[in-house]
Amino acid sequence: MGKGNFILVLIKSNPLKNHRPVEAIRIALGLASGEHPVQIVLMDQAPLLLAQESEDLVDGELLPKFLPTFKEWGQTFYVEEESWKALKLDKTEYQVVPISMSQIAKLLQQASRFMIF
Amino acid sequence: MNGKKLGVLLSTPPEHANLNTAVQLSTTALASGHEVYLYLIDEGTKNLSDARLKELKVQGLKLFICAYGAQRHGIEPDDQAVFCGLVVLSDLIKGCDQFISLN
Repeated sequence: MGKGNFILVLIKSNPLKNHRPVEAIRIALGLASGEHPVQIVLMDQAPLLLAQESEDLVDGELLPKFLPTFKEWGQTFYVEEESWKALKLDKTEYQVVPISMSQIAKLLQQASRFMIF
Repeated sequence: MNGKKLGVLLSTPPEHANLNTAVQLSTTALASGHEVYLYLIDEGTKNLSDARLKELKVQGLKLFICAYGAQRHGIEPDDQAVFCGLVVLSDLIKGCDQFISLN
């Protein structure tokens, strides 16, 4: 499988307990603002970053500074499908594509660089 | 990979084992004649005062620190590192032959 030219940012930390998921979104935005296509994968509790209510998240008040730009760009957020179902986040204003663990593995293989938070 | 560029991103605090990994990787790469670029971000900015990083700077380590992260974690400006934004991280990712993310 050939390498793509994108950076994969995989977020699996729990945004209810840790500031790292929000920081990862900031970093992803910074990288995407440069020359690098960025793909974002959210696993476990991390899809909560896309919930309409973010006040329960650690540093959730910062998300409105970062996420709207992704929305404007039409950025796809890949979410692990079982996590997505479990969290029941049917309503989100972002472009979401549920994918399986094996599809996430393929994305990791294709990425030219990856970061896991 | 003689004379190549290694980029390392470190986002974890001093008590995390990633610091040792970053130091050892950097030490080995510099001793092998490679260029090493270390970017401290988020809680990784707290590693700025680590004596081993200062020693590695003498050996040629190029040290960068996220200005936003440094401010959030109360790290004072210091000429040990280049305080910069994510554009520099983006450039490092693009410009390095190998890039390792320690999160």
